[in-house]
Amino acid sequence: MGKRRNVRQWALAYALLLPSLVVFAVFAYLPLYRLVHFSLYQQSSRLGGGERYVGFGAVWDVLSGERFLQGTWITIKFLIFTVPAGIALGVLLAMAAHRRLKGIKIFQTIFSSTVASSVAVSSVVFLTLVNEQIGLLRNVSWLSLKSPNSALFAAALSSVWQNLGLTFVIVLAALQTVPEELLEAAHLDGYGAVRRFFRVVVPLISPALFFLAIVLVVYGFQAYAQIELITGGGPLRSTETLLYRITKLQKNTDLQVGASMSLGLFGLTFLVALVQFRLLERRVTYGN
Amino acid sequence: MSSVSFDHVTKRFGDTTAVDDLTLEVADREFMVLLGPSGCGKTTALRMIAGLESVTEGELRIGERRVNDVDARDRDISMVFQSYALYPHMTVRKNIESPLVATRHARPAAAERAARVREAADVLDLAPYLDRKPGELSGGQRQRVALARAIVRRPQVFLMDEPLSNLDAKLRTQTRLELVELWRRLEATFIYVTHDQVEAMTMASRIAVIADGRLQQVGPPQAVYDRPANLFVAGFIGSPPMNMIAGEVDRSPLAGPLRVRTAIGNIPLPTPPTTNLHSVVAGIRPEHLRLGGSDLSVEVLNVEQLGHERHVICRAGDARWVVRQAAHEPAPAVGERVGLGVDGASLHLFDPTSTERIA
Ligand SMILES: Nc1ncnc2c1ncn2[C@@H]1O[C@H](COP(=O)(O)OP(=O)(O)O)[C@@H](O)[C@H]1O
Ligand SMILES: [Mg+2]
Repeated sequence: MGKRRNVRQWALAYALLLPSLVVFAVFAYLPLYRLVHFSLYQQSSRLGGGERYVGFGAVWDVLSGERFLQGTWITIKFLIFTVPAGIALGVLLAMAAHRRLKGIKIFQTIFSSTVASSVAVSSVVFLTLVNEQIGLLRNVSWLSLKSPNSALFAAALSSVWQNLGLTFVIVLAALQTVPEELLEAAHLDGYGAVRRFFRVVVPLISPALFFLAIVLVVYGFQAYAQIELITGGGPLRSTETLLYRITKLQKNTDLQVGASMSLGLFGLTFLVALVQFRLLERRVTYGN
Repeated sequence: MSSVSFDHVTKRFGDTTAVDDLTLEVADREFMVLLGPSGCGKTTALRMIAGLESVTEGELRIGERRVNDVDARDRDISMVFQSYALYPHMTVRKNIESPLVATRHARPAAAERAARVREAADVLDLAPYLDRKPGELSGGQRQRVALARAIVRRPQVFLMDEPLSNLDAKLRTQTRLELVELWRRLEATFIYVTHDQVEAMTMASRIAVIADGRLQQVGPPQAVYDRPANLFVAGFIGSPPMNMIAGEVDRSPLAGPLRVRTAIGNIPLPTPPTTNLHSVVAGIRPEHLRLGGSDLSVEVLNVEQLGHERHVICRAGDARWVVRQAAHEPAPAVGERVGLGVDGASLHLFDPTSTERIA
């Protein structure tokens, strides 16, 4: 009898799990399987022309090839431009708002509003700003979309702005958990404003900063729309990040390359996730 | 070590006057307690000494030095916060060491810092916990870390804002004693803020009673208890509080001996009051009333047994009075009408309009 009940319990468990299993299968496992498949088989150039096994060697060829490495390098540069600056700006703004500086309400509204506006909208706004004829920032050489040296920076700046609302809101919330008396105690101990910030505030809000670093890195990996809209990958492919390159590889014959690069991107993201878990594990506990 | 003086100091926050024209001298090596109800301005006064709050008017001195415009970091004071304000991300050792590391004056060498942390930790029995984080300590231990952090820098003045209020009753009693011992040992000036009159009575060299931002009275605990300067102090200090009743001084020689006539009877006056006021408020402490006397007549509402003594709660006109009675005396019955005897020498008289003490 015990056995029968056991079987029924298992059946019930699987029945209840089924919907989420289906969702995962359709949206996660199946695509991943297809991805691996496409990276291992070269598709024929003719429609319905079949496929040919090329194996892991071909995947490795792609991942060690110029296209992937170049894309990775551009992506890393994009991250270097967006992540530290994004966090620093968010912290600065949140500090200003937290200390209730005059006129901060306006900034608060402006910056929080990017949380609710789409990448497309902010990209178009940015494009207008750097427009060659009418843009307010048209003469700022380090934002020029014409030069391979500055175009990525310009696209990154738009991303920083786009992400600022999120950083601002998260850091502001974290700042509000830092007790005022603790900062006063630090002041009496002898810490000036700068050391107070780095010795007390930063450690206390570090979980939020870690979180933001991870989120911004992931956003950076996923950046597509702003690049498509602002630079279109150019000039001279100087703003073609990994994801952007992958999305351009849509012809039948390109599928194996695209799939291999996607696996590479997957690997990179996975690495970041690992680092994230290590950092979060080491995170200080601030319980009472 | 050093004195602290408020010279007509006022602090306003917009329309709120938190501290109103405070003049107070805290002597060197004194244990001064600022006592008053919540919101009376005690914390604000303390924070002005610390330099965490600016002085709106008047002059504040630490020792001979005017400190109105001196940065908090340069005042050579330590403060223990009500919340303890320990750094949660640092070990106990780092917390205690912090003032020595952070100072912008001569910074002691690492070896000396370690020795001083050790010493402070020993004084407060914290040696076994030096490598823990504050989150792993009990409330009492955290409180001691806050004290250790305060003493490690050997400041001129210690400021404490209700440091015992987060401890349970038993620990509070014990820590009271430890604080006084610490004060004797350090031979330092302590300025201690509390709303708890028991803390004030038991620890203070002198108490400064504050109400509504104004200083009401300063003096040694017993003096404040024995001769409260006004109705507020009379009602605030003492537990159970002083019994009060309105009355008239009867001076007509024909009416017999000098006395105060009240709604519940007459209180004899041994000496003529130093006033020609007619209306007064009479105050009598619970221990100065005697059940079974014949001066006043009241109704017993309740009898509270405390073991070593008894509190008899009575209806006296519109007021509730408390009579203290030794446990070995016979207890009155609830509902009974009883007579009370008053020792005129322990009577307090106040002016009902100015609320000041008369005699
Ligand atoms: N930063 C502040 N801003 C405005 N009002 C304040 C501030 N700090 C204290 N007050 C006001 O000043 C008065 C005294 O406060 P406080 O010194 O904290 O009293 P206590 O410590 O005796 O309870 C209160 O009315 C309080 O609301
Ligand atoms: Mg207070």
